[in-house]
Amino acid sequence: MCFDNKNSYWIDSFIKKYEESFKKVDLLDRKSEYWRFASPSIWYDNYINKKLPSEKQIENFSFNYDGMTDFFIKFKDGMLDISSLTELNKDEKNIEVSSYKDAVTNENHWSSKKFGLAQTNAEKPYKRPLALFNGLDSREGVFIKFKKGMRKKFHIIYEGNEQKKSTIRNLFDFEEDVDITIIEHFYGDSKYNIVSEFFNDKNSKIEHIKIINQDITDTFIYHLFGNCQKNSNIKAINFSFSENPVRNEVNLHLEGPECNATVASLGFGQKATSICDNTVFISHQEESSKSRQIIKNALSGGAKAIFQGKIYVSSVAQKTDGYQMSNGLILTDNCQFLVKPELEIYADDVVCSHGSISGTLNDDHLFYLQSRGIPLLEAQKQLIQAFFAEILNEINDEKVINHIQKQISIKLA
Amino acid sequence: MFEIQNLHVNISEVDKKIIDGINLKINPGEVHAIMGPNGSGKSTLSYTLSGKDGYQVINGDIKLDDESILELEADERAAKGIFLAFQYPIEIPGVGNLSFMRTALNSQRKYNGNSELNPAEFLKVLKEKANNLNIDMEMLKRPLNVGFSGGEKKRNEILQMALLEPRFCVLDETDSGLDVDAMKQVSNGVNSLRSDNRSFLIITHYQRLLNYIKPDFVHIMAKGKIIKTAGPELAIEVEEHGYTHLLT
Repeated sequence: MCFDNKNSYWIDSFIKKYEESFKKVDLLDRKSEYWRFASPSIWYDNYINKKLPSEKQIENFSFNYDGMTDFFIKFKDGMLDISSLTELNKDEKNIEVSSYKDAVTNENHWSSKKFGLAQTNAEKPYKRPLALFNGLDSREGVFIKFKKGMRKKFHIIYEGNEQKKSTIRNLFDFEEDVDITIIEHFYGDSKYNIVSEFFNDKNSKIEHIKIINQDITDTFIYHLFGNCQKNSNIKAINFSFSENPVRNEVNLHLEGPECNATVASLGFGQKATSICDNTVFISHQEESSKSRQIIKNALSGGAKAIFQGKIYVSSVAQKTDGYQMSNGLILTDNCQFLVKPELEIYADDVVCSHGSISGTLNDDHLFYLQSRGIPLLEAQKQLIQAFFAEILNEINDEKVINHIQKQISIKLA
Repeated sequence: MFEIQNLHVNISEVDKKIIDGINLKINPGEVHAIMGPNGSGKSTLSYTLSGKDGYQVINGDIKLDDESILELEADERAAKGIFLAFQYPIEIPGVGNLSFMRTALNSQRKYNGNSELNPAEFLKVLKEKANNLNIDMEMLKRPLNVGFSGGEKKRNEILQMALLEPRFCVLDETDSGLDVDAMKQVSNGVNSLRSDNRSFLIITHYQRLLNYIKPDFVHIMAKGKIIKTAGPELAIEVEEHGYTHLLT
């Protein structure tokens, strides 16, 4: 690895640390529970060495951004469009925004005290090799401090061409009492490896929505590492429509008491090339926090989905309320939904549960709809939409809901 | 006219014959009731008429206006005007009641060559039907039958019947699970839908439902056959003496 001379000491020391850790990780260790259902080569080799067969997409998957007063940040082919930060920079009272490059070349940048901490929390018991690689490879990203009490919605739009790599590192620092929604939109003929670190201060309310549109033609890897303080509230919701490998890792460290965390994912794969892998770890470190994991995948055409989810409760995290449910809707008989739910509990006064149900469409439901004149295909569509409804109910943004319903409809057409 | 001719039905899953030669003619405007003990094949008949998979007609025919409907799928039969009010209406989380009803109505309109109703037109029609049946529109904003009381579920079935305006309605033990007041409400709804060109087949165990929905004919079904047909007085006879004396 060749370090940039302009880099600050703090980022160079992180890169060096990541490099050392990365060398120690056996990427091909298929015995590791971390890679239990999908070989690491699917992610690492695909991202580095291969171009997956790319099919030109003719549908318009674009989100309807018309009439919005939200903030927008844009990336193209892995590069931050600096001009897209202009509007954000005007709101200095509420936000402080830097590109990755500006942040890591500033020895005294505010992010130097935060960078890497959430990822470090997530590295027990498993190193996160794809995130380590991101740490070595990323040269782009956006670092934002959301100042106390700010309320705003942000869209981050990623587009790509020619299956170029987009290795991006973001850092979001949410101060007390903020109410922020971040919607990340991923489009195009591109590979993605994104790491976002979230630092959620007291009483913050964060909604993070990620939409992986179906025109993504190559490997997609995303890590969300979150540190959550007292009475903070976070929702991390993933929508995946890609027909290529997607690895979505969410690791939330509930450091303060009375946190509330929801991780939800909707995946819809229709081809044998489709892998939707959700690897989720929620760590309860203090009392009286709640967490929910809700994972739903509809699968046909040989598609595969994976859910590895853990609720960890430390010995002092009494009154923890943890819930985890994964559902697979198997629409054709050559699909797989592979699930490894886990509870690791060291406190004795907690309520934690997990469950997983997979099956086909319910014949009685289909008959009921048909008995009212709804043709079989339309009845199947309605029931697939209904299967996903629990995830859509997690969000209030009508535009997002309409976009997701449109994506599902395109898949069902 | 709705006609069942020498109908024999197997349930495919268990390969067992349940209906063993039923003949029945129901003219427009008529209300027929079928009564019978448990296991006599009443619900099998209702599912067979409405086209549920797994109910295999091995002999005979079912005709609507002299045309066989045996080859039609359940949705096609519905669009032709056959409606089954379920004994246990299915709860379907995630499917909105309003959206379901609009899809159902428009599917039937499309099948019959009529233009589909836009949301505003649909709501106008639905509100009118709901008002006639004293149904609160709030109930319709919930997911289909989810969390509904027994009475609400049955009233929702009657509302669907009113909305879809079928020509032939099968009510499969609509009285089951209803208290007296709910049964009166549901019966009033059904009675308001009686007309010269709509016929009903009411399946029930008990005579009490027939106090509210007066049938023209009562049939007793046992072991997959209709063993006796008479006027409404037959239902009273069953109530007083049970089925045993009719079966011997």
